[in-house]
Amino acid sequence: MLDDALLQRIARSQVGDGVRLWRQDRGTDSPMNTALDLVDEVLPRPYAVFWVDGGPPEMLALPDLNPAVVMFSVRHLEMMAQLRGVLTARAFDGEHLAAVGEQLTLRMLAELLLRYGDPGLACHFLAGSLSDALTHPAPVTLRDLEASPVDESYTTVWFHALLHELGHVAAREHAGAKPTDDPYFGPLYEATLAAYRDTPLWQEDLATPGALDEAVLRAELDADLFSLRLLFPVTSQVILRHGTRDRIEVGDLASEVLLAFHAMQFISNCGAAARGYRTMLSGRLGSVATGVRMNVIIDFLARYIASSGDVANVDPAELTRVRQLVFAAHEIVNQRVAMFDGGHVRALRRRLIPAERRRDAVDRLAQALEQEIGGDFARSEVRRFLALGESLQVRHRDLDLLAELATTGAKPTGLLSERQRVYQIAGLTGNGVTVPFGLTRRDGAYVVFVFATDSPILDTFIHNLQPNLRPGFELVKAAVISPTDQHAVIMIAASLPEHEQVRLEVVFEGSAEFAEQFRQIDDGTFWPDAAGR
Amino acid sequence: MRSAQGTLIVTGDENAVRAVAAILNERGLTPHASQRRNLDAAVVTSWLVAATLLVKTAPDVLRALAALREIRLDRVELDLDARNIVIDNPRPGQVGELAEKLERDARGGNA
Repeated sequence: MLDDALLQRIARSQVGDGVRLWRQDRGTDSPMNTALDLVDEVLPRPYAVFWVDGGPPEMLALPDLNPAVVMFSVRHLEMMAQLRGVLTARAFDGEHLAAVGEQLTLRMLAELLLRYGDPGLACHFLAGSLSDALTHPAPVTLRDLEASPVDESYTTVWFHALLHELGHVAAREHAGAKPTDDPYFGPLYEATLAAYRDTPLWQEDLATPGALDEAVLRAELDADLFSLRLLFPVTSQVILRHGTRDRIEVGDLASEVLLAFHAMQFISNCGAAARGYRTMLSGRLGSVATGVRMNVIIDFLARYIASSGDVANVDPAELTRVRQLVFAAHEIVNQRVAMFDGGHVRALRRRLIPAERRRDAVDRLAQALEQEIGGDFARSEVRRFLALGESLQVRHRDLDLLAELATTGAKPTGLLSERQRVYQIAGLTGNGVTVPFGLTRRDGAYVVFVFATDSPILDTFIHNLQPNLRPGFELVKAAVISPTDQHAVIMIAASLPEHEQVRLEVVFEGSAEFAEQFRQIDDGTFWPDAAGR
Repeated sequence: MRSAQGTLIVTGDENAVRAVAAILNERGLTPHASQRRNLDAAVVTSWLVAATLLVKTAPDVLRALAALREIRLDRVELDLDARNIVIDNPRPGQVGELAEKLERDARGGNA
């Protein structure tokens, strides 16, 4: 068993020194403790829940420790509530809902990219999230959530993801198992896959290696069912102890679960994309794995409701009737989710394909900050984002620029035009055209190096690589004028052929990544087999 | 008098964490290892191993980590005497240099 000091140290190491971190106090009469008391009855292993306030929307677990550790992110909770609000608000519909989906996805990506070490892109997406949308849905804070009515929505927003995470702790004994080995999952899994076999998604999703890892899917299904099995009694007890009713509306809870599943998926997609998983391009909501999980959830909800919780003894006729009702609820939720997903996918693509990013994101933010209506909102959200950067202890010149834009007494657009930077790159000249020169790394990425103004390294870089070029080609110094790092990345991407855009990686002199790439070039580990182009 | 204690946390892939846990075990320390799982279907993002150790034994442990071949560590975090030292993506030799520095510090020469 871990001692308290080491446990605290491990938890702290997962989130950094700047965020607020505290262990859930189990001695108080709170909805969270009511929920955890029920978890204690079914989870055979000790666990500790830590709150994380001031970080990005990211829940995580260290399930193998004793006690197992689950990090409960306040920001994740806020985003779950905000996504639920947007998905149920009739004020957003059609392309408008897609635009809000794009906006919120950019915001989540921005926060997660700060955490995962790309502050330049994080600032760019933050700017995009504040300047692209027609309407800004009101942010939700922890205080709002603590004050909201204790009902089915409350318990699902607060506890569905937490219970899912605790489900991973509970499911350790199934590690490596496959759904097909299980008498309950097996037939559902096969039936769902059969339904996909004739669709284009089958080709798109399953063509990606690892898109349908059965052991991963089984682990997620285990966690989904752990969460669902507990959410009914948790909701019942929490409403009874902390709400104003003595019974729950199971239909409402089922709808909330369907919404929460999708909200969790949206946040998770952002987490995976921020960490650079390229499979996210094909991992859309219609993916096979998500389809299997959704079907299992629908089936479980129907069984649970039809049997009043005794899922082993369900009347077939009642099950059929309730399943139709749950499917109908799912169809309603799904229509909204599909609209939101249109914008969500657009934003995810921007993460992965630089050429699809807006060149004018920061200019538009500067304009938004000057608006009489909306300017204050944009300013407060920039400040909130800068506070996240502070707590994550991230320093970057684009964060400094955002801070300047949000606090200047002058016009932000005027300030921005004075803040143009001159970056330098090596340009490859030949056949009458000049394109940004990069090197193909061992993993296939096409790495373009961006040098500071008057950098002495650029001359050496050009001098050393010039002899490797084919006759008729030459390396020259080229300037990129841009207000931000990310704007420079977009300009470089737009100058490259499409096949190199998708594997482009741009590193800036002064960053740890730049130093690491040069170290790898020096020791030879950079290159695929022989020297790149 | 109780000897000063610190903590070591190493992050990497599963193989790296197993190798570090073996080093800690060989020295009579108790390693606590776990996968680190994010809330998405994108599986385990990394592994970590943590242990409490005596400050005076830290250089020996670090030297053993530095001697690992074909193993890449993502992060080495050492909390000693309220001094928190973090090395992200340690390059070859960097962990060994830290071991030497801690030894010099222990001898009283902070240079």
